[in-house]
Amino acid sequence: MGELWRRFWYLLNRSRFERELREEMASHVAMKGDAGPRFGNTLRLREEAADVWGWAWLDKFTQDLRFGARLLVRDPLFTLTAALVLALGLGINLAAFEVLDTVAFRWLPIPAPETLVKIENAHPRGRSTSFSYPAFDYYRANGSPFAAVFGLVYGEVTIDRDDERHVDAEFVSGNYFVDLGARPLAGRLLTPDDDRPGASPVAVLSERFWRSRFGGDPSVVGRSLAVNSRPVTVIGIVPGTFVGLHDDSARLWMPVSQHPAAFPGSALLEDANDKGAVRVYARLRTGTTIAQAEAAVAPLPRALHAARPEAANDDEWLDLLPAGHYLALDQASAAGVALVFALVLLVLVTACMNLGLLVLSRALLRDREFSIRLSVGASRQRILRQLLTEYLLLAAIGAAAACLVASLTTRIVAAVTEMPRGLVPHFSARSAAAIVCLALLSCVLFGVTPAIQAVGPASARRPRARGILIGVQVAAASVLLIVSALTVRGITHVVRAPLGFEYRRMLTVDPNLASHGVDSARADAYWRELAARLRALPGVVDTAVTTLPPFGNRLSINAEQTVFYGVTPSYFGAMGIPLQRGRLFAPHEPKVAIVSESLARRHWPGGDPLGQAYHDATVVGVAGDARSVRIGDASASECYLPIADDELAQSVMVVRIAGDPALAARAVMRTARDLDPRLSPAVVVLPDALDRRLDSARQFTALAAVLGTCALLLAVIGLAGMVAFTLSQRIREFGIRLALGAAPRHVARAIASQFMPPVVLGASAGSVLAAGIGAILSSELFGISGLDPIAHAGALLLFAVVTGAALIPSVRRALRVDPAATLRHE
Amino acid sequence: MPTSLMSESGVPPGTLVMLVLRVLKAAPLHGYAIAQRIHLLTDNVLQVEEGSLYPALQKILLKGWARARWGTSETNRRVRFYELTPAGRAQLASEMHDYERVNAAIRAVLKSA
Repeated sequence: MGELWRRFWYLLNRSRFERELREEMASHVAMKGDAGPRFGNTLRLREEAADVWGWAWLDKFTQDLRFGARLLVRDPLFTLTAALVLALGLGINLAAFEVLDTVAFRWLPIPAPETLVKIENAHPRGRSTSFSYPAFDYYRANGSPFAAVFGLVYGEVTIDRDDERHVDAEFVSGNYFVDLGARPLAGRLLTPDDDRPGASPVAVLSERFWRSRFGGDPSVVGRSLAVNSRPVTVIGIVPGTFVGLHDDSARLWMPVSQHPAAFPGSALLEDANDKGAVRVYARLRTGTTIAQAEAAVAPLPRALHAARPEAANDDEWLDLLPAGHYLALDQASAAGVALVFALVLLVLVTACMNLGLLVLSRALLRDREFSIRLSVGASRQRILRQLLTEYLLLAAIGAAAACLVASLTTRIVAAVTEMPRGLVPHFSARSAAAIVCLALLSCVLFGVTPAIQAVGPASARRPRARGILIGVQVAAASVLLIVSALTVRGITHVVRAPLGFEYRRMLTVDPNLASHGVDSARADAYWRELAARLRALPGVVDTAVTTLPPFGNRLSINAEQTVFYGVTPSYFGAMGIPLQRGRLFAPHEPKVAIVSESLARRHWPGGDPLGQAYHDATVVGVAGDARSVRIGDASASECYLPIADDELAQSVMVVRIAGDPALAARAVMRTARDLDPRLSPAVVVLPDALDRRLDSARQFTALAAVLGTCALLLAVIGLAGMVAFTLSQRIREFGIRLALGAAPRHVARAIASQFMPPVVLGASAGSVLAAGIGAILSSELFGISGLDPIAHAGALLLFAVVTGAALIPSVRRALRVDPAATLRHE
Repeated sequence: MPTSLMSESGVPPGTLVMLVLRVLKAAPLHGYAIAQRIHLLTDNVLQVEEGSLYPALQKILLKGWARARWGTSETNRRVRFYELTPAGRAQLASEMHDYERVNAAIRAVLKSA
């Protein structure tokens, strides 16, 4: 039995050992009788002997703890408020930490995630994240450091002849599900056998899609679906817990070798020029590092170039990036994450300041208690230790409540952002440690520091500490409120402000000609015929072909941030974009361009753009501004060129409808599909597309609004509490002033003069900070400036109104006080 | 920790544990007997205070230098006997050795001066 263990044994059997000591000493006293000096105070002697066991600190600690708990129970309003403040401030931070931890720092739930890499194609001019299928095939066959290589091809398919909507599909190599360790929910998943040439067309569905589209009907497995109007057998369901690789949002997966089966005429498997087709991932052999693997694959692009010159340039190399996490943190995403964390941290700042205010007012209240204890001989150190214990207890309560808030918040975040179920954040030891540290830190910094001040003799410094706490809290809360007001303004601005074209009366038809291997001559004929048939439909006003679908992701841009469109001449009529000067161009007219009004004004200020050269074309017309692709860009620099023949297969048709486009969608789809049964064009109703386009902005707005509300709530609790407390301290003074004839407004001014300076200072600082954040956020604000006066004024007004309302009861009490009553009270 | 003898006795502090271990070497004793024995052996020079004795005994137990066992005294009282363990013997030897060395050194200084 070692000494440590024996100490512990003493702790466990304390009462027995103490009894033995008592007995032993009793017989000692009896034997000693009256001889020699008297046996000392047995209680003290026993305590001194027991101190040797080394547990005295524990006694004092439990004593403090009991005392602290009694105090907290006796003042439930303080305890509840402080716990609520801590729970909100810490809980939201913990949730943000959890989500980030899950997506960026924790490994994907797949076997051996550390060996997973993404292969990218780099060359002196830049890099591309994907490859042509022949290149992928070559690297798969020759990549010696890889245990497995898999490729993913994104495609949009239709599932039913009568449904005009597209479904996200992923064409994957046969080893994809096997390698990622996925297990089917029903049926079986794709295997390398399904990916062999000549295998019958099969597909697996995501659980979410299976449930939403087929009501979770088990008989779907084995049934045939009309994927792009081709019969494809469903062989299984992929469970919702399957995470896949980080950008896998597919509803349906098919073997990549069956791409031609879903897209008749697809040349994907042979076309070495289609370099944006396949995203490629690989597994490193165990023990191989990324550097070793990169060295081993370095000669491959050159060898591929020698074998098939169009498949790779001889100055290319392969970049391997670790892909074992859901979100690969690069510079761009790290900046976004940092911004969100900055906003989330502001909530914690507000909470801490609040806690500081609470503790400060409580410490002032306890002034009497402290001075009595000091005067009867307690040391400052002992009182501080007791206070520390008290706030430790508070930190524990706050941390526990924060865990509740956090688990609720993460659940909501996961549901709103549609994170894969397999990734739902859960508590880890790491986040538990983080929360405990944060709770302790905030309690010690903002609980004990004011307490030290209160115990200390320099009571003169208190008002300044209070001013700082109030000011910082108001600043943090205003930043959050203003930022959320800015994002709300941005979204309403997009929805309300004219985009410059008639998107409410429009839809687009995308037959995906390039995926089906349609060449430009056939594409030209197809568009002519489709236009003719659609115009024959009732309600269709006009049609046009464009390279850039409105609200789409495609973008062609120059250094001046001008967007280049290839369009047919009817584009302006179909979109409802007015031609303000000059003329339209004719189809295939060489070297002519139409520019937008803003571009003309910026490029030729005060001059006449007509006849001028712009990017080796002559400007023949000026059109109204129309933000159809970069909807957030207020400058609206657009340049329209006659659509080139080789662009026809990659274009879409825009259709202007006389009435509601949603009602016309079905007829348009039928007409389009009847034209060429091998194609199954998707029809997109533009108001819906705008809605989807605003999704991420809406999510950010929701986040900012939630954080803003929390900050507002916290700030109001803190300010109202502080004011109420201070007023109750000064109530006698007010009573006397009123009795001596002061008007209520004088008293009100005295109250305001105490709190206004830090509040005004804080609000101004918050305004400046928010403007800075607005500048960083400009792409999410859709042309609203970070200085937008409506957002700033609105947010601050809201803050003032809510806080003011919370203050009314205590101020009224102060103004209505009966002087005689307060005097009698003393 | 009050494990030393009263300074008035003129005994170097820190030797109480050694003395207790020494008197226990011959036979197990109870607390009162230990105090008595030290008192007698030093020709009534050293008086062991209970306030020092019991903490010292607890330390000895905690360190594992002695075991405690309840028994009956000569006067028929229930008392706790302390019995040296092998670790206690080793500790005693080493403390005596250290003490001799320091003592000899002090004596050398006193003689030369």
